[in-house]
Amino acid sequence: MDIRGLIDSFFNVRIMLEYLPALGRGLVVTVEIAALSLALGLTLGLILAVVRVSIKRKGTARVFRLLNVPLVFYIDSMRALPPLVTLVVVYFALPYLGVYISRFWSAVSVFVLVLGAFGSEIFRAGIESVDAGQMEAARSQGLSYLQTMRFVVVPQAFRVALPPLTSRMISITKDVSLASVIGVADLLKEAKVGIANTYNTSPLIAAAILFTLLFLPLVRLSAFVERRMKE
Amino acid sequence: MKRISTFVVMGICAVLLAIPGVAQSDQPLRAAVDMGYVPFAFVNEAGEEVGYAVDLADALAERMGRPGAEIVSVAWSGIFAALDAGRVDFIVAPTNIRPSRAENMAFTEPYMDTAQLIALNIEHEGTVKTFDDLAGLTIGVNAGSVSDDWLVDNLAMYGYEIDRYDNLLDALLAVDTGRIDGVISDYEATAYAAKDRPKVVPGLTITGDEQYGLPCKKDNTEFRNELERALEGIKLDGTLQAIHETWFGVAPGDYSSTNLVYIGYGVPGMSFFQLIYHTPTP
Amino acid sequence: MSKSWKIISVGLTNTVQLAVVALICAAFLGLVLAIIRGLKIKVLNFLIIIYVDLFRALPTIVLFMIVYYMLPFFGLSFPLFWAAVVALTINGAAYYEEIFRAGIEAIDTGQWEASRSLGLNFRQTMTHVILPQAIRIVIPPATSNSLELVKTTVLASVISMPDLLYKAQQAAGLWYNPTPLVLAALIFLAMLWPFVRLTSYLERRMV
Repeated sequence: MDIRGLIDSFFNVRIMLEYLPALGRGLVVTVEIAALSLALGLTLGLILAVVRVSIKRKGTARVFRLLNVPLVFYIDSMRALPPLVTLVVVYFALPYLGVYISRFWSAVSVFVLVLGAFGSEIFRAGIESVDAGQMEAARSQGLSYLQTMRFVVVPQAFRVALPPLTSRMISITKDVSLASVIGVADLLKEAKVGIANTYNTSPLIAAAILFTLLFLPLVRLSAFVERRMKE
Repeated sequence: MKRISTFVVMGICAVLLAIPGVAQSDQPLRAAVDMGYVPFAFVNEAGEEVGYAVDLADALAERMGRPGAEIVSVAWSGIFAALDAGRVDFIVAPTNIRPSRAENMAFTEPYMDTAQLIALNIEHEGTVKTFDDLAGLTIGVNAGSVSDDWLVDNLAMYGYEIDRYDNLLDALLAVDTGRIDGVISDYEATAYAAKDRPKVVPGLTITGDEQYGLPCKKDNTEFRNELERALEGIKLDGTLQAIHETWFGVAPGDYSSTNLVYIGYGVPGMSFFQLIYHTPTP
Repeated sequence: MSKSWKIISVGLTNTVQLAVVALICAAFLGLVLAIIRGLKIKVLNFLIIIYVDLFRALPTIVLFMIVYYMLPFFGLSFPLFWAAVVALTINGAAYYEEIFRAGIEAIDTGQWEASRSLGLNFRQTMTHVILPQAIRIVIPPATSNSLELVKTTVLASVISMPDLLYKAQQAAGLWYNPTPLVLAALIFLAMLWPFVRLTSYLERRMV
């Protein structure tokens, strides 16, 4: 085992410190993409869940029910496709159709679409778990359907949805580093550039440490939430 | 008991698989390329891996008495890491010789002269005549290549924007689709790619003293020397020149490094150069 | 499109092989770790918790690169396919461990006590009493996690393993045409969509 070579090539403190500013910039980009994707994705997921539950009700017109078909197609596709594949197709294939989206927004849109799909299923399960009696009681008090949704059902649905939601959100945030493959200047991409410029792999280890520091608390938090929700 | 023994067996298998090749001389020569870097290493329509670098590796393997060359594909941004990790014996992808690189790996003597070319998307054809015309355009580059260095060095002077990619193919695809305005890379690769793509045209040539060498792991001068003797051997009997003509259509220049055999091992004036007289492998 | 099929089919074979092997290894390791946690030995538990937290926190793509570029310095230079398997196993086992552990812990402690009083030791209790019951609970999340793992195999393309995505990218570069990429996406969709439906169905049944 080549310890001296190992330390020099992977734990070279001088190089790690030299690239820390660049890695920091990359980390900011990673967090930006993650924050945008989570916020927009959750919103999309919630809206879609409410839409899907609403059109399943008894009194809905036929034409609205048909809306379910494209929705299910979208949700199933985003759940089946690996995010990296979707990213590559969006960035490299869409231009041939004349659609040019910047790298940053290609990444954000893909993650929003994926989280939207998973989120809609999670929220839908949460909403459906709320006792139907709640809806009836609220309606009989004079609240409209949407008001009931907003103030009675969805808040309760959140409790059931929170554990799978947090773990899916963490999963998406980790996937943000896939954006480096289409060249987004996130933490991993800065690390790769550092490796290429110094002929040394230490920037990767520095990035790995930063990633772990970023995600370890989130993983612990998610486990905590799951345990609390079980009680 | 059954479960434990299965686990033990799997553990042994894992260890056995991890043991790297032992006796060197009967192992195939492992050479790293970034596949897709036309015309040095790419996949043709039949799915075969072909190119200048592939032929070069095969010729060297034969000269060294090895049972063939194993072409290992690694993205350019990770190719030096792969060399360092011992995943390959040397890099046969065209690698420009630079002092900073020479400090971290042992180059053989130069084997080909080259220049750089900036290819452009066809909409810029005719409008970019000098380097100053590059102002405001976005130029793609292979991250960590010498073209990357050139772009960084001249950024202040010409005012373009740099877009870094993991390999040349991605950068070419970006120019082709109009995402970026141009791409800069080694002359041969860029010219070849531009030839094939209607939407990419050659733009500005940057000449210089660029030369390719074969990097080996820096502690492994013994292997580097063996490789260099084989390299000189294929220079002297015309094999290298023939490969050059096959892929570039012209014979190498009389005084280019393809036709010159340098004294000693390595690149004169750079790290790991050894002034040792030796005879090439016939 | 048919031209690229030759290149893409190689990738498809590799992806399927990688997925199958990695699934088996990751599930096996996850099960072993969960069982060890059942022993309730403080030191081992602590180590396993660190392992699980660390590899659920580290992005898999970074793990791939570490296994490929760094492990050789420890004398572990796995060939490309096995490097991918190792990375997927290390990552996947962390998730499987949590799933299996939840299943095992869901079994009423009364079962353990009853087995003890019948004279069964730890191993016998696990094999004949606990695990068979836990399997039913574990199937929905395990299926879902397996689907995630199969999707993660495409990360191997980043270390140049010729999987379906890598080969599709190669074909796309060869003909300056993104059709192979779309074709690969459709193949993934066709392969994995049934599992998405299956996962939904199982999750629904459990509620």
